Amino acid sequence: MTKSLRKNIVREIRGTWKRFLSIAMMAFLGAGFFAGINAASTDMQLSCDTYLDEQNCFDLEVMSTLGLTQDDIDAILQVKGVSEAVGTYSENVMVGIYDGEEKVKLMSIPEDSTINQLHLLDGKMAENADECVAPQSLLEITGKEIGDQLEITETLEEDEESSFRYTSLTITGVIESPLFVFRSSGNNERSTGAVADYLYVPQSNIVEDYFTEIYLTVDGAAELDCFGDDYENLIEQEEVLVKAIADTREAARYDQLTGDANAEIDDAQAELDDKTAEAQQKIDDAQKELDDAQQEIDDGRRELDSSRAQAEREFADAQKKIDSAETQLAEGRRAFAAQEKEAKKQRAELVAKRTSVSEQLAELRQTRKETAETLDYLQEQRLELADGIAQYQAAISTYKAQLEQAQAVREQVGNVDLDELDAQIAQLRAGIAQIEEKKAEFETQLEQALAAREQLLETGMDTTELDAQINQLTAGLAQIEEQKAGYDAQLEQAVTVREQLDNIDLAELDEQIAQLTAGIAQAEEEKAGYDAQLEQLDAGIAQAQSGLTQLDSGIAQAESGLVQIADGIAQIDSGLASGKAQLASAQQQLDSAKRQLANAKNSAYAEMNEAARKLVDGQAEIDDGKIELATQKADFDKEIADAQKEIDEAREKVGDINLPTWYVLTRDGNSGISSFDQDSTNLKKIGFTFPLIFFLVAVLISLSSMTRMVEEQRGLIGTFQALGYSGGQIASKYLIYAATATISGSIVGELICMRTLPLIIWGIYESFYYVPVFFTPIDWYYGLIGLIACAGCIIGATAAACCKEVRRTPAHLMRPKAPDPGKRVLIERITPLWKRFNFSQKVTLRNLFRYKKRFFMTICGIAGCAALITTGYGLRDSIVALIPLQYDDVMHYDMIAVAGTDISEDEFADMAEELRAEPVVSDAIEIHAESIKIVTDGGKAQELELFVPSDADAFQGYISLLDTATDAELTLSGDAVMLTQQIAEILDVSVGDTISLRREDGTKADAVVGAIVHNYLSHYAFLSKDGYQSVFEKTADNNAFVVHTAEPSGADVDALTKKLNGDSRYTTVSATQAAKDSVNDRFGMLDQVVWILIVAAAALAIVVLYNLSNINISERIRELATIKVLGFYDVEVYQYNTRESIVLTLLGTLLGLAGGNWLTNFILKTMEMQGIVFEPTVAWKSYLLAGVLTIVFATVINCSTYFSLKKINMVEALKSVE
Amino acid sequence: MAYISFEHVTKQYKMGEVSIPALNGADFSIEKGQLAVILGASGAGKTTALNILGGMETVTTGSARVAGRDITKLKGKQLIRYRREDIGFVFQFYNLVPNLTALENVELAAQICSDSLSASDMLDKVGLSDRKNNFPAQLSGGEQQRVAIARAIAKNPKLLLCDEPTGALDYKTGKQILQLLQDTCRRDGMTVLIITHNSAIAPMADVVIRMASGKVTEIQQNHHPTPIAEIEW
Repeated sequence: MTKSLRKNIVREIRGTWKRFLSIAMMAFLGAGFFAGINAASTDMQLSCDTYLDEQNCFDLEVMSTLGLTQDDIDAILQVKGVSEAVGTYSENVMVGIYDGEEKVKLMSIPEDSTINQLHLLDGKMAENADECVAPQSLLEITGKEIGDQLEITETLEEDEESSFRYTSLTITGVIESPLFVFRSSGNNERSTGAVADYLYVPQSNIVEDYFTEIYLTVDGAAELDCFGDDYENLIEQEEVLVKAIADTREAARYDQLTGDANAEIDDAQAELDDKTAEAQQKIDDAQKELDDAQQEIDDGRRELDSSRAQAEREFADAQKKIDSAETQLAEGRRAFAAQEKEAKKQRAELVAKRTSVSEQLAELRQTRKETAETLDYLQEQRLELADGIAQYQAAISTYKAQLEQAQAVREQVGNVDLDELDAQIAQLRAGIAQIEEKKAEFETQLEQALAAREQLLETGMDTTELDAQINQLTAGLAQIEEQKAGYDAQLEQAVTVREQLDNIDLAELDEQIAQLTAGIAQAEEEKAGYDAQLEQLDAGIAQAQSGLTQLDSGIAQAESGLVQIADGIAQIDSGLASGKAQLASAQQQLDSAKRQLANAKNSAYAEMNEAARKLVDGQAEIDDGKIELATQKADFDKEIADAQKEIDEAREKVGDINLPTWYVLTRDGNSGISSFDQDSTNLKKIGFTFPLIFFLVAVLISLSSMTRMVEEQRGLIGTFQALGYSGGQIASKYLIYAATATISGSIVGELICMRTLPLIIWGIYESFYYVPVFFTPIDWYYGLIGLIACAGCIIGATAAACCKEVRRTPAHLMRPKAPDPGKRVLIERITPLWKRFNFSQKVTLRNLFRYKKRFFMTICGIAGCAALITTGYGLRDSIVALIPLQYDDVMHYDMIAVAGTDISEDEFADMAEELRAEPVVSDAIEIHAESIKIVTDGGKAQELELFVPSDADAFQGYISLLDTATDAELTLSGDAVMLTQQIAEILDVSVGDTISLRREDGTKADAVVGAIVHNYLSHYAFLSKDGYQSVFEKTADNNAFVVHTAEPSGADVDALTKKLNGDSRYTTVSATQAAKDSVNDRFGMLDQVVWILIVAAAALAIVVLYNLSNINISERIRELATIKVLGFYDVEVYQYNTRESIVLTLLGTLLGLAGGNWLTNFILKTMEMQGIVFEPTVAWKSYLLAGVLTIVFATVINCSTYFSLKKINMVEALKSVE
Repeated sequence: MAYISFEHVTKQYKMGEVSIPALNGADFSIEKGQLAVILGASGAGKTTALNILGGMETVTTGSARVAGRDITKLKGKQLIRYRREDIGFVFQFYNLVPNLTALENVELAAQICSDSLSASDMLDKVGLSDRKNNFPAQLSGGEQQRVAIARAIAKNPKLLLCDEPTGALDYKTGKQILQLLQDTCRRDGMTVLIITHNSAIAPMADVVIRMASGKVTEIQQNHHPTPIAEIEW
């Protein structure tokens, strides 16, 4: 190469540094990404291999269904190629964590061996039997620190003894084990009850006399990359050798176990038989005694029964009598009642009669009273009448007298001289004076007598004579007075008459007499009327008097009638009273008879009852005796049966002791290492595909840049040719230019990316895997591949472009290159359509099709950019979609609660009741959940959770079993086991294959795969209850609940989770929401991937678009200058140029979105992680975002062309063509 | 006042430290409706003068007036508007947009002017009625230049600037183009300015401006321009 050529190259680079840089940049991105991502995978494997080698990690692991012994170790050590071997003991135990219990794998630290050496991070190794070491994750979940005590609990079966000397362990250090490179990540594993963590104790804490596994290393394996094929081949050979001794060792272990056990069982059986016979005798004796007592009681009962019958008969007779008396009495009562009724009726009649009689009497009396009154009146009237009559009589008399007198007077007067009458009067007066003289004499005599008498009386002398004298005197006196009165009257009469006579005139007198005579006649007449009246009255009176008499007799009669009636009533009353009294007495008699009978009965029954009670007591005693005997007998039978069962079980167990099986597992059987292998291998696949996009775009861009450069300089090439430089020499300039750009870009890119990309990627994986030191050595292999591929492509392209030009003649080259002729595009031929476009649209369309190369390049570049962004978002969408896929489509339940293994069926039923009573719980179903290990013939082993629902139909409401082949929902039935999709893939089994299931207690069974179902997180197997029964020959006891809560999350659910976790009967309770959160946490960091992709895409977009727009402008500079001269405004020029870019951007974006979808699918399929299945999904929002971002990048670049366009110098551009 | 005047116009290109003068105080003026020819050797500054008049270059000092307006004072968008409305440009190498047909090329210019003329009429006028739908590549040089002229006059400009319009054409075609330009000037009263190094063309002009080393050396008013047909070179 000449000096001038060299100078030319240097100046060329300096002059076109932008182009140089853009080519270098493309190489940087292309080669850098390729090498970086590939190196990430290699670096991961290298770092892991280094770590495993340093910890002297096992190469093969031997396990046996019946445990392993020192003899086994010795035998293995004899196998050719085995470098070291060590036995360890491991068991799953429970440790307390903040919200319950956690199942962890406890492993022993072997003495005197460095196999699987622990990586001590802090503190010191556990040396004493009561010490332990644990990984940081365990300390975190248990909240312990170095120096704290950690309690472990074993789930022991009945009669099982603890496998450990100490269960309270002091944590002495923080470690990581090479057996657990996969970090436990909390809830997801924990929710299913699988083992999530581990801890180590010294072998001296183990009581068991066997090992659960033997780890061995193979000569020369450490030197090999354990993820490489050489290692795999070596280990495969060794595996065959170790398996070769399996048969012998299996048989030896079997003999050892069964021989000892059978002898023990026989002894136990003999002892049991002796004890059984002895006890049976005792039972028989007791039975006999009881039978005798029973006989006695039965006799007594019979006797009592007969006497009771007798008494009852007697009582019945008495009762009968009483009954008849009662009947009689009743009859009497009835008769009496009739009588009484009659009597009462009579009495009522009598009373009525009495009333009427009384009324009559009263009437009579009234009548009588009235009659009497009438009588009185009559009599009074009579009296009056009589008086009247008398008066008349008297008047008549008077009249008569007067008349007589008058007549007399008249006669007298007529006859009587007055001188005689005077003489008579004087005589009479003289007679009176005489009598008065006599009377005074007598009175003087009487006074003398009376004074004498008083003297006598004073002297006490006898007065008799005197008294007689007095009396005579007195009498004489009286006589005198009488005479005197007579004389007085005569005198008076005489005087009167004299006087009358003096007064009387005879005429008058005669008239008087006439009058009187008339008066008398009248009076007599009236008197006669009165007399008739009187007669009448007298007759009325008589009549009244006779009425009265009659009335009186009536009254008397009525009164006597009343008396009679009263008598009658009294008689009736007394009759009734006596009847009643009779009845009462009869009743009294009857009552007393009854009382007597009752008393008699009471006493009789009391006696009999007493007797019966005694019998019952006796019977009860016997019954108690019988029950006791029965209980004792049952106890005895049970004891015997239990003992027999135990013996039988032991025998069965011994019988069941199948020939043990040895499992020889490679590191593939270690889930940590195998998933590390898988993940890093997947990454390698991505490392190959993902940068391919960069690669392609980078090459395309560089190619067009170089082609353009060559074309631009055709005149120069022509000149050089004309000057005599050979084609090679001329081409070398461009080749060197391209090579310098790409190689320097590639190298810088690789150096930077190989350091940074693995670290970023490891940053994602680091949260899943523990590897202490991460190496990022320069990976020459991928570095060279990247460099050669990248530089090769670009240089090749340049060479091709050069070749084309260099072959032309100089003259041709020095002529300006005719611009591409205008051409009608196909669309123009569709006139109606073409007409609709406006001018600028037509121009745009023509231009699009005119520059075909740029058309494709732009579309590729933009599509790549859009695809990368879409992939970034798509990855995140798919990860985000994991949760709804898993927890909405498959696992519908809101909570899973696993009960402890020591919970009995009854207790579990109680728990179910309590759980369903929780207000938060809307419904729940019981299931059997169990951790099992699936082992394949290929030495692949995988632990997973087996669910056996109590009700397969109801189970669908909690977990949907969706067939991967048909998407149809399946129901568990039959003996076939359903596996989730990823485990089926890992184990490489398909429907119809047989797999071996190993339970935790070592029992194993074969089952056919019935279906493979959708599942996105962890691995599960499902089996129906009947299926479990027939596969394991054991009932699947329910031990867990899957629960629906009223709300899928919230304080209530948290509270319930906490409460149940605090409940010692539950071992694990986990709310789905918590699992979701943990998944979210786990993938939160994957956002970084999205950012890496977006940044990469942006870089790609900017470089590509900038390049393209520059090419576009420089190619069309004359055209653009022309329109500028024509007076297009800057904006119009920009639009004229940009319309194409916009169309291309849109087309490219659309293509890119589709490509992104494909790439997302591809990447997710290749990078599938252990326990996670991604369902590629790109949300429309992501498409939108990717599209918008792409368009934004494109627009930013487009806008920058505005300034480039503005800067176009019209004069320069329009100068005559070079 | 002249329709177009150049007053003491200087133009210097700065190349780093070096300052290269292109115009060195040029003065001339052209009346409206005249056909002017600027003659000069390469580097005489005639193209610079044309570019200044075309609004593609700015002056260093002095002023250039077109229709009474000092175009040296125009800035940015005003300058573009000036190019758009007032100027028609015909290039030596036609500078047709290759993927537009003849008609479309004319339309490209016509569509941006406010009082543009019909593109189709313009093509008729330049005698290309039957080639309207041909792409530039399908046209001969003369035809292409006619399209370019049609494109320029379709804008109905105040001033038609032609930069060596016959430079890339053969004799016969060149004459036809010059005839077209002269006809345009005479018939439409358009002011036309042609720059050329071919002094044989000069007799056809109303004004001949000779330039050398950035200065106007001679302005010759030609009251009886020779018809194109009589000019030979």
